[in-house]
Amino acid sequence: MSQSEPRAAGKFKSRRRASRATALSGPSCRGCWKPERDAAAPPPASPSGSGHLQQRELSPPATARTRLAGNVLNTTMSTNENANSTAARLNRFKNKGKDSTEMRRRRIEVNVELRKAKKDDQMLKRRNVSTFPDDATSPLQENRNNQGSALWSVEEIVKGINSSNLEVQLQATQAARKLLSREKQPPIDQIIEAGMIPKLVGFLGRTDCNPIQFESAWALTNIASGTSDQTKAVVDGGAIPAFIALLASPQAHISEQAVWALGNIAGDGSAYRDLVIKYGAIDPLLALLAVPDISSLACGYLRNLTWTLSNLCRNKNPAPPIEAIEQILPTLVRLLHHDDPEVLADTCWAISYLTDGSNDRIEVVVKTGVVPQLVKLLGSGELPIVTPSLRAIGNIVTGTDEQTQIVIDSGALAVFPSLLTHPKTNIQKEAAWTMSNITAGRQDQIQQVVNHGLVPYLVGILSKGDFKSQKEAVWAVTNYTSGGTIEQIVYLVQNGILEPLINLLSAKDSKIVLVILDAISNIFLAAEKLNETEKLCILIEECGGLDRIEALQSHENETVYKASSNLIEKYFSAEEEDQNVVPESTSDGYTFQIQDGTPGTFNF
Amino acid sequence: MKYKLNFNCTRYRNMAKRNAEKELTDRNWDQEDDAEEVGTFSVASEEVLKNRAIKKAKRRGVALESESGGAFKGFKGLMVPPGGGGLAGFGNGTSIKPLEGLSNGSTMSSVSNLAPAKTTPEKKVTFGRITANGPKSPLGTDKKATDPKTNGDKQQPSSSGPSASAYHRQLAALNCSVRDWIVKHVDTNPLCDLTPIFKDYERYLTSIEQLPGNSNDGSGQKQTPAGPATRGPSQQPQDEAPPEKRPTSASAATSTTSFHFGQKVDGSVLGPLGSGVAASFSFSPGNTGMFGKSVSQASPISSFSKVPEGHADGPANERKGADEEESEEPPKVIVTEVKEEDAFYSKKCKLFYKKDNEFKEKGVGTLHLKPTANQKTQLLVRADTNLGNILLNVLVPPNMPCSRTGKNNVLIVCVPNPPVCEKNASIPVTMLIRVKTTEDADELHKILLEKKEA
Repeated sequence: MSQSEPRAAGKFKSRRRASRATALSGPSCRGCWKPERDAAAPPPASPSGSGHLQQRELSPPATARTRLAGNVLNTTMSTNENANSTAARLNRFKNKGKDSTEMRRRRIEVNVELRKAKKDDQMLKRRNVSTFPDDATSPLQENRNNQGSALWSVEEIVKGINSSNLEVQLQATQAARKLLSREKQPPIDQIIEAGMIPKLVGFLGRTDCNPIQFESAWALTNIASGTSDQTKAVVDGGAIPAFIALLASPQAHISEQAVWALGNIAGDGSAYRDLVIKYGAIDPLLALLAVPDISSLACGYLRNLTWTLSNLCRNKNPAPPIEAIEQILPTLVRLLHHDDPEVLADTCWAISYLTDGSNDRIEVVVKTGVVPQLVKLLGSGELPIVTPSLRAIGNIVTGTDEQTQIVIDSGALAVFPSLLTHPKTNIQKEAAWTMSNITAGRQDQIQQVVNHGLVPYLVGILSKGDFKSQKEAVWAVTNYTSGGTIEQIVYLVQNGILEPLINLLSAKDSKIVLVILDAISNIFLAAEKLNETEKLCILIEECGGLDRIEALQSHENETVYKASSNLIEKYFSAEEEDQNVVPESTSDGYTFQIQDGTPGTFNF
Repeated sequence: MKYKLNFNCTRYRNMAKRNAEKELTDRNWDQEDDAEEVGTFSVASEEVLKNRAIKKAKRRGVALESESGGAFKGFKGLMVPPGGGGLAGFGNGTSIKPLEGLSNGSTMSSVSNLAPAKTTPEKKVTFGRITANGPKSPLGTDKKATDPKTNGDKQQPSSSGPSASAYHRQLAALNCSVRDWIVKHVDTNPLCDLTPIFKDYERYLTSIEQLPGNSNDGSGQKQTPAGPATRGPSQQPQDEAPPEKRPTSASAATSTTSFHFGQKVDGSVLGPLGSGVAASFSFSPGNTGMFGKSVSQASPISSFSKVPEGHADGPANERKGADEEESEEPPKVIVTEVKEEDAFYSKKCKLFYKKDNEFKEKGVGTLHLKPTANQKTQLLVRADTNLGNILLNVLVPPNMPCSRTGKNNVLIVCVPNPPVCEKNASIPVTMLIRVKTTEDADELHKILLEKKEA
């Protein structure tokens, strides 16, 4: 019944989540309109499938998920959550009044704000925006106020929580949760300073009163979604084991809230992530997914779980313990075959984090056999899924040649024509980066790149991509020329790589200039072996390369100067007969002839 | 910073895998990255530059894309050549080089003719001009590409003699006048409108082109392409792009070229044709032509394609003028090189001799190997001048040290005749023969080894 309630709350709380929700806003949101699934297999505690559906349709992308959950519950709200349900309804109402453009605008504003603000602040702001922006003006506001638990002062809350009356404690906790969920400046620090955290953590264990477990879990989730200091306050209050215990709650909404809270704590950084793991969160978390068919789980519930698992995979320095990873991975692989776009996206993110590391970490992932499915998602066309799966694939090909080969064998290269011409420049860049690591591989791997017709696409990026993509393509070319066979290099040149490559020689980034010069000298080495140095010289000169290389001798970077000077000396040395051979004798004759003419004959 | 690679190393082989540059997470992936500007590199301070040896690269004389565009191309075309001296615009290293390779001393005079063209300092400019002139300018330089075969077919070198030089004088004078006028007026007022001059220019040019002896009908000739020569220019290069075809056309062009050479000495004609040839020639049919296609795409096509364009657009009369001009104009006629008819091997080279442990230049010329009556081989290097001064004339004795060195040099030791140093006329000297390419050097070396054994 009240299951959706926690989700609604949750959305306000979690900073990671909030940001994620924003990120996924566009396409993924659409993906969750899956009436069949909802209708066919309503989650145990979920009252109405239709409610889900409607909710989704109504909800603007950024906050769709949480709000949707809240709404669903409202329709079938149980007693002690009236206030919450009202709020949730309010949300829905409010969102209904807004078109998605408006919501998008708001989100963009927030994003801009976020980028300027500190990371921790970002989360709060974003969260707030998605929650109660219009409460004050809402016609239903009064109703909520009448409930009595809304808009308490912190003092009143402290007093209520410290009361010995459970009912009062519940009311006060609910009031606290509401304050902490409000848009502007939730009084997180005041609640902490008032010493409420140990009390709230204590309420988590009140199995005799589910509502207070739920309200305190929600409140603590929102506190934990704040700054690292605020998260620390929650952890120091002993919340981790308490939340882990709640994972096994028979009340799905309480269990879900615990999942959420643990996600926020683990998402804070490596230390708390490992602490959560150390307290044994993984087993009960995975147990929640150990059902024969994960489609039988409520959509929101599943998303929360996936997201929390992804937080357990997140962050480096240090990376999560490898045993923990090995334990989580089979579940991730399973989730990767699910059909919910948000679940897929978060799972791909988790895998992208796990593959961002040393080769043995990559190996742990690769050996689960997940790569073919990743490649499939790579071609899904859904940006929120393509982005993390491309990153994951890109990470894997930084590994050994064998690991790279698995990616190739899974058919990844067939997706690259569309990735390398993707409308999003970030995707182009990531795809070009991935290519650069494949061309850094064995010659037969370079050949696969050739066979898939990708060289012209690299030329395309080099010619027309944004600069960041161009740089990655430059790396791809240099690696290719460094490791490729002569025939492969010839093929590259035949595809017109020289001109766009050379055009980038005037770029500001001296590092990339050096990489280009390196590619050129690699190509020269190949030409030398074919005795075609002259032809290459002509080609380079023809596309203006000689002028550019010459000019680089004035580069402020000494290494660039030397590299360009070396190239000229080696291949374009004026020493050769050409300049000296013919000129003198001839020029005499010529000059003579000119002087012979009679200027002035023509009058202008 | 996350790159596994260390950027200081210049070789990336086997170490080329790089981690992602930026951490990407579900939190930041949707944020727009700040676009990075390509920018332009910063130049070192004058202080630093003073201490650097800035090398000037050798130009092979290829057309530059950048030169071929722009509203002022015609203008530029006119401006520059006069500066370089008369028809200098044709000076094009590329054109000459392939020709050398082809003609190989069989026609000394032709080589010497080309020489003047080479003098022109800036090929870019040259080319810019050629392309520029293509469509609109009356100079019609571009016609040559088509003309060559024409010339080859009908023109005798002798025919181009006197009238050509007269024409040239006039043209040079015209160009100098234009240049001076432009310099003067632009100096006075950089904002002035130069259109009238070019109208005048066109008129004058037509008038000198119509002088007796210049009256070839270029367009007519073009339409009757004879033999292989036609091929390159007349066909759309793009059409014959496939690499396999290249060698064919290359050889065709080649033969044409040498043909011209023998009979006709038209520097301007050779210029553009040569550039086309250069590219195609450079991959000999025997070669697999690894870079063949690319070359064909890039150099021959670009040089070819531009030229034909010019043709297509150029009004017939313009073309006529150009044809005549070219056919008349034999800078080479002036230089009468001494031919060595009986040489079995000839090659352009640059000769150095070693003195005080460093090589000094003896001169530029053509090396000939000739059989002598007593079964020996005579090595003769004549300067590429009118006089054909002998730079070296020795026998190739069996014991002559002879080795390949460097990229394109052959080293021999002999008692030079004429002596390099009057005082020690009989002391053996190390001579360095530099030829154009590595292959040439290999060939020369091989022949010398064979002949000295004989």
